[in-house]
Amino acid sequence: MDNSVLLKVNLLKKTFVKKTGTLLKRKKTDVFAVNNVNFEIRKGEILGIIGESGCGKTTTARMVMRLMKETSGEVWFDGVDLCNLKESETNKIRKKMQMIFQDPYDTLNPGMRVVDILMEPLNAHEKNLEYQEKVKLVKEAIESIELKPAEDYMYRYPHQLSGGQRQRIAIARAVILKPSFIAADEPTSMLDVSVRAGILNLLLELRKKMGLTMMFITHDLSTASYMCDRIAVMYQGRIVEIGPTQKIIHAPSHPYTKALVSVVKDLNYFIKNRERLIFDGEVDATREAVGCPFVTRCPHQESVCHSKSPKIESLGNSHEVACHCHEDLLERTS
Amino acid sequence: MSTVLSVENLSTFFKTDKGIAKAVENVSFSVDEGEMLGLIGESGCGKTTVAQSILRLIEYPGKVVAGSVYLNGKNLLKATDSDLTGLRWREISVIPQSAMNALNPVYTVGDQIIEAILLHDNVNKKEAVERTKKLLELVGIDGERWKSYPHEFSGGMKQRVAIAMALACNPKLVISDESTTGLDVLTQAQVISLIKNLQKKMNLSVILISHDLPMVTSICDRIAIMYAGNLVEWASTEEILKNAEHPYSKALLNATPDLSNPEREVTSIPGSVPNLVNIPTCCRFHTRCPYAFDRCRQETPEFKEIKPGHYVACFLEEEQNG
Ligand SMILES: Nc1ncnc2c1ncn2[C@@H]1O[C@H](COP(=O)(O)OP(=O)(O)OP(=O)(O)O)[C@@H](O)[C@H]1O
Ligand SMILES: Nc1ncnc2c1ncn2[C@@H]1O[C@H](COP(=O)(O)OP(=O)(O)OP(=O)(O)O)[C@@H](O)[C@H]1O
Ligand code: SF4
Ligand code: SF4
Ligand SMILES: [Mg+2]
Ligand SMILES: [Mg+2]
Repeated sequence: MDNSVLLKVNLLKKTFVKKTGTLLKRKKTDVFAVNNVNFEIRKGEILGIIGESGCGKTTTARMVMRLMKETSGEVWFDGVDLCNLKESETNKIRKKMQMIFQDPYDTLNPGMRVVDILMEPLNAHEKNLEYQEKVKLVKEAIESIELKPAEDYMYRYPHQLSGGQRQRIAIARAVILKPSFIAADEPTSMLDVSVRAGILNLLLELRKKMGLTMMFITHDLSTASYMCDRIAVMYQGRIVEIGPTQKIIHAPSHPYTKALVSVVKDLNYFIKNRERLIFDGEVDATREAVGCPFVTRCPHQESVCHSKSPKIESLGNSHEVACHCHEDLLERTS
Repeated sequence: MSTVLSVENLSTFFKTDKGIAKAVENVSFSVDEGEMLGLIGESGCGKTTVAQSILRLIEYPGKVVAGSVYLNGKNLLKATDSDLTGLRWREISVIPQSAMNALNPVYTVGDQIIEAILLHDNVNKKEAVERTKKLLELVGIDGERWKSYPHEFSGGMKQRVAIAMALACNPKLVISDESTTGLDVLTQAQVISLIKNLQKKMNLSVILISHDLPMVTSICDRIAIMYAGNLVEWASTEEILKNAEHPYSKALLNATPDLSNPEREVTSIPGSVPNLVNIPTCCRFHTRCPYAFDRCRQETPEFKEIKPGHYVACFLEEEQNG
């Protein structure tokens, strides 16, 4: 493996069983939450993951972080095969890999004060530090997420904080050990622009100083464009387009990416195709589609889209897309 | 148009070991029938506290210390517990900031919605199940998944379940606390057009708590802007966009990132939110306001109507005009 690559994900797959049907006639169907996903993140790089609710972003992150076992596939971190590690070895790697969870209400222990929450990782992994030094680190961490003065917040319990304040504590907990990799799942969704800017700049600063590498899940395209070097677009468990941020946001090639971007950038395109794009009912991820998974909503489809699943192909300059019609699309839109 | 909810001089404080945190002070606004009001402001400025005060969900060490909240003429702050049980869900319901606050992890989402329906509406189990499936489909979730547990859903799906649940008993007023925050733009557009439709069909009133200014300006009729526990401006969306008066509102409008210009560094409003514990009498924005003068550090500006329907709390106009 190229040693500038920190994380490599190979044909990663996760299927869940979903129960449907009536009480007497129970049916079980598979949900293909993550379906043969491949990507690499280089050291110091921030890869954004965007895509619709339920498309498999969190599931991918949980497998990468070893919080969930994959159905099949591989996860390599710094040359180590994470899927075949002993538990003791996984614990050692935990210090280097941190996750910021999607719902801060779900993940901060309600019985612990802020200071204890932030002290916990230090106690586990920085045993040599003096107590006073740890307190100093905790205070610095709290002020770095714009909760000042730290003394006013560190003795509170999570329920004494607002939603955005909790989300920031979750970020402080992830960065306090100065990890080399962070998987951030919608880390700033509850923050307003002015606070968010400070937090995003803090993460960028960590990257500059220590080469922090990130997998950054977000639904907010302006945040993605500010933070990420590359963006992967997921749809129904697959990556349908991946490439440099500027390409994804300003010259998207896949019809689904175009749809996502148009809501914020090109309202005319969005309004024109609105009926199709805003989908009634859940995206059906229960069958392995014969054709393209996006065909039920795609404004650009051709007959081949119904019979053949498109493979991901390179457009050059590390921009890849899985769509039968991308060349025509490029012509049509240029 | 008739007023559904009217909040008058509401103040809610929290006791902390350092003193009294004045999380919400002297807040007044109202919501009309069929109106969508956007309540926006920085993280920690008191939006959730306002919502919880309206619904009487504030718990010790917090307390509503002053004000009144009228829902269709009835003062909620004086209502008995049994009055409240009758009002919640059917008259007024809330979609909490975290879906996990609405959902119980040990029951299937269907059972939770069904229970709420059976408790508040006079229908049988079968009808409740049918309604539950329909509600789930409304928010873009396969109705057959009513038998799934919360942990079997993605983050955004849980949020959508919470939205479905809040609508279960056809309330007149819904308070949505950041309920579309974690959703991608397409799903968000879908959920919002759903709420908009219901609003028109059932004359539903909505308070949309959010920090997402572009979203709020694109769908709300009126906007109320909070800063550090106070309401600083309240007017129609158009008026806010064209003639925002309060220096904080203006800063907020200018701080919104611009996708077409990604090179521009995102700038925050300089300084940070003041600590609300033992906050002295002053304009709470004075530490960050480019126009602050002596009076702003000593007195609290009154929240008053500067033109019909446009309320502002700032000394600036007075100062300039006299
Ligand atoms: N139980 C409590 N004790 C002390 N302070 C509290 C308590 N609950 C909330 N606060 C404080 O009150 C203020 C208002 O909190 P609130 O949750 O209303 O903010 P918010 O506007 O909803 O913010 P966000 O957008 O981050 O959710 C915050 O500064 C918070 O720290
Ligand atoms: N434990 C589970 N059991 C069954 N199904 C699950 C489980 N966890 C996730 N799923 C399903 O897998 C799919 C992908 O979920 P995931 O949480 O990865 O989505 P996501 O992309 O993070 O979405 P969101 O933006 O809404 O958080 C969804 O259809 C979800 O219902
Ligand atoms: S392969 Fe066909 S259906 Fe799929 S995205 Fe491309 S044009 Fe649309
Ligand atoms: S009252 Fe003074 S400090 Fe407050 S917003 Fe107006 S000018 Fe600024
Ligand atoms: Mg998720
Ligand atoms: Mg809140």
